[in-house]
Amino acid sequence: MKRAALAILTAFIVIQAAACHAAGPRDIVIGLAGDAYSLDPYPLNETITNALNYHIFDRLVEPDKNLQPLPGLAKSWEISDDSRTWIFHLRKGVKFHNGNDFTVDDVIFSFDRSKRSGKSAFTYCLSTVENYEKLDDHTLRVVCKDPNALLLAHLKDLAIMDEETCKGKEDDWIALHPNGTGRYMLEEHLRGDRLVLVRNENYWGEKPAPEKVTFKPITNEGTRTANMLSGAADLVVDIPVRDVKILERNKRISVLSEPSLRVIYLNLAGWTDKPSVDAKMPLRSPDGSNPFKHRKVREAIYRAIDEDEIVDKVMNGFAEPAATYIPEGFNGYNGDIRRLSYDPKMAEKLLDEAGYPRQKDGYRFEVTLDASNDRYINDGAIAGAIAGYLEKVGIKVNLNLMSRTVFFSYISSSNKTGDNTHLCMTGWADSGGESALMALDLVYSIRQDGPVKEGYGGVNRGYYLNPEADRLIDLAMSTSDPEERAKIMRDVWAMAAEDVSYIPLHFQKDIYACNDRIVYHPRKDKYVYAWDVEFKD
Amino acid sequence: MFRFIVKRMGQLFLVLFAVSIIVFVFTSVMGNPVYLMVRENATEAEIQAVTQYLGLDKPLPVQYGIFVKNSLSGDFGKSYMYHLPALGLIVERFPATLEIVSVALLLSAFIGIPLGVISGAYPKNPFSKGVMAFSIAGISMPSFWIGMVLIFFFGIFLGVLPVSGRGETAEFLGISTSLATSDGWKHILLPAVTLALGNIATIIRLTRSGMQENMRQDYVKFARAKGVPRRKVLFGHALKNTLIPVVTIFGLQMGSLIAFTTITETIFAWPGMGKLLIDAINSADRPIIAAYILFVAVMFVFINFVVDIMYVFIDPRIDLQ
Repeated sequence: MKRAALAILTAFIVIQAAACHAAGPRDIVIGLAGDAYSLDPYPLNETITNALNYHIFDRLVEPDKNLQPLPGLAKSWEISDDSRTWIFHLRKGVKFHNGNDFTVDDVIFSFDRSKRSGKSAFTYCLSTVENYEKLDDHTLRVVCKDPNALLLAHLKDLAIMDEETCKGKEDDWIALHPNGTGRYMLEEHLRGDRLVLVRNENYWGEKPAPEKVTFKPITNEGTRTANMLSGAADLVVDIPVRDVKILERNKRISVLSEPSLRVIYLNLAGWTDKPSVDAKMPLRSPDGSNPFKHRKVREAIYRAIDEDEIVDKVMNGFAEPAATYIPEGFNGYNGDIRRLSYDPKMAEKLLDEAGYPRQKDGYRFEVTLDASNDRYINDGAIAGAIAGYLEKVGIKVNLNLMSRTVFFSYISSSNKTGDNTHLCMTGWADSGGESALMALDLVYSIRQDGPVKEGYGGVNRGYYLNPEADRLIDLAMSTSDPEERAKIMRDVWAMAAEDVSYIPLHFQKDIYACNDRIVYHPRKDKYVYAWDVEFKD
Repeated sequence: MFRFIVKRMGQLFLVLFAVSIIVFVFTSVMGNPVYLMVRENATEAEIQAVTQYLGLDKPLPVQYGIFVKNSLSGDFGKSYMYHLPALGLIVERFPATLEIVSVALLLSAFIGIPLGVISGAYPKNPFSKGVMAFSIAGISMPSFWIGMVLIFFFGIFLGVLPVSGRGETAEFLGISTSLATSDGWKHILLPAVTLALGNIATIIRLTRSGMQENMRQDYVKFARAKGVPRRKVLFGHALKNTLIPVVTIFGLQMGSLIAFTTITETIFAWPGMGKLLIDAINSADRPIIAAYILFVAVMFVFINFVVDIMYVFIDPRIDLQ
C-alpha cells in the first residue's frame, strides 16, 4: 500500500517536472515590496497598485523622467487664454485589449467613475473641473472652475477604462477583468504571489522590450535580498540598506540608488498663538508664549540639527540632505537655496536673542516632537536623533513616537481650537512634477479653524501665513507658460526658505538591485515600469 | 452524541459572541484606516466622504450592531484596501495555508512519533540522546531564524530550492494546489520544514514521556513475557496508550499552525492567510482582521470537536457526555 502510494507520487513528480518550462529570453521577474491591491485602478491610490495598473491602463497624459506631461491617449491639447478651458485631441485607432475601440466616450465614462466619492481615491483629479463634454468622437472639452494651468499634473494620474466592458458591471467584477489600452495585458493574478503580464502586441506606441513580466510581492526585506541573490528575480525594489554590501559583493548584481521624491522635514506651528491646545504634552515656555513664532527660534532649531550626521549614521548614506522640499527637475525648483549650516553655538545665541535663555533647570522651553516609527525609512531613529540635538541647545523634547495607523489621524485632528501637534516630523512626496502643486499643499495659508481657500494648504501643518506667497501661487496656477510659472515659483520657494516655514531634513533614496541581464532606469517617483528595463544582449 | 453536538454548537456561539466584541473594540482603537486610504493631502471633504462611505462616522455601538447584522448573513464587509469581500479574501488564501500546514503536520507525525517511541523505549541509547538534543534545539529556535537559515543554505548557498513564493499550481480535485506540481513541492518544502521543526520536537517529547511511563506498566511486561514481538509491543500496545495527549496536542497544533503561520508565510512570501493578516494589520484593514479572527475561532472550536470524537476511536472507554 505504502509502496504503491510512493510510486504514484514519484511518477507524478517526474511527469510534472517534464512539464516545467524555462523562462524565455525576453521574460523578466521583478520583486516588489507589495502586491496590487486591486486591478480596478480607482479605489486605492498607492504607489505599487498604481504602477501595476498603469501597465494595463493608459492615461491621457504620461509623465516623463522629470514628471513633466507627455502625450498619452491624448495626442495633443490646447488651453484657452484665461487658463480655464482645455481641448484634448485623442489618439485615433487605439484599441482596448479586447479589441474595443477607444473613443471620447470611454474618457467621459472614466471621468464619471473616478468621481464616485468613497469608491474612488482619484476624486482629486477632477476636483478643479466644472464640466467636460464630447465635441466629437476624438475631441474632449474640459472647463475648470478657476484658472488651472496644472490640470495635466492631475490628469496624468487617471487611468482610462473601457465603457463597454465596465458599464453595468459590479465593481468586484471590474477588478477581476481589467481591460485597458496599455502596454501589457493581464495573464494571471494570484493575489499575494504573482502578477503575470504579457506584452500588448497591438500597443499604439513604442513597444517595451520585456515580453512577459512577473511581479512578485515580497513583503519581507531579507527575502527580497534572497530572491536577488538566488537569481529568482531580475530586478528587486526596496533593498534594505544593510544588505547593500552583500549584494555588491556579487559580480552579477548591481545596486542602484536614486534620490526619491520623498522629503522628510519638520513642521513647526510658528504662525499661531495657541499651538496644540489638545496635545497630551503641550508646548511649555517660561512666559507662555509660542517660541516658534520667532524666526530666530526656527533658524536656531534648523542650525542645531546635524543633518550630515543623520544621513551618515541613521540613513547609512542612503539619503541626500535637502535644502528645499522640491526635488530637482520639478518645474520651479530653486537651486539657489542652500541649507543653513550646522552651528549649535549660533543656535544657542539665536535662542538667547529671541528671548528664551536657559532657565534654572538648564532648559529654555519644552516641546513635544510627534513622529511615526513605521512610515518612513528609519523615522523613529531620525526623530530620536533630532530630540538629542535639540536637548543639546537647551530645548527639552518629549519624544512621541506612534505607528502610522495612529500618527496621521493624531496630527490631522482638525480641532477648531488647535491641533494636537506643534512640532512633528512628516514626509512628503508629490509626483505632479510641478512645484506649484507642492506649494498649494505645503505653503498656501491655512488657519487653525479652516482653510483660507478650499482645498488649499492641506498639509500646511505649521499654519504658515504669507499672503504674498498665496498671491504668487494663485498667479502660478493660472499661468500656462511653464517657464513663466517656474520663475514665479522660484520666488515663492525663496520666500518660504527665508521664513524657515519648515525645516527640511533629507530626501530618501530608493535602492534597487538588478542582475547583469538587464539595465534598469529607476524613476524618481519609484513607479516601477517594465518599459524602463532594457536587455543587455 | 446528538446532545453533545448541540452543546458544542451552543459553545460555538458563545465563543463567537465574545470574540466579536473583543475584535471590534480592539480594531476600532487600533488606528484610523481613513488616513491610510486617502492621499496625504486629502481635503476635509475627501476625508469626510471616505469616513461616511466606511460607516465610521456612526457611534461604535451602532457600528457593532451593523457588523453583527451583516455577519449573520455571512457578510463581513469589504476590505478597505482590496475593496473586495473580506471573507472571500480569507477563503481564497485558505488552501495555500492548509497546504504548508498539512505537509508540516505530516512531517511532524511521521518523524515525531517514531522518534518519540524509540527514544522513550530505549532512553539510554546514544541515538535517543541525540534525538532529545535535537528536540531541545527544535523547541527553542525561533522559526523566523530557522526560515532565514534554510533560505540561505538551500536557496542561496546550495541553490537547489527556490527561496520564496508558491510556485506552479495545478488543479487537483477542483482545488488549485501547489501539491500537484513538482515545482510546487519544491516551493513548499522549506516553509513546511520551518513550520514543522518546532512541532516535531514537541511531539517527540510528548510521545517519549508517555512511552516511558507505559513501558513500566505491567501489561507491557506481560506482553513481552507472553512472547509478543518487541515491535508490536511498542507500536501496538504502548503507543496506543500514549496517543491521547498526542492527538490533543496535534489538534491544537493544527489550529495554531493554521492561525499563526504569519511569520513563516511572510518570510517565504507564501500567499496564505497569515500573510494576509499581517498586511491587514499594517494597514488597519478592520474587516479582514475581524473576519480572520472569527474564522479562526470557528476553526478552533471545530478542531476541538473533531479531536473529542477521535478520542472515542482511540479509547472506546471515553464517554463524550
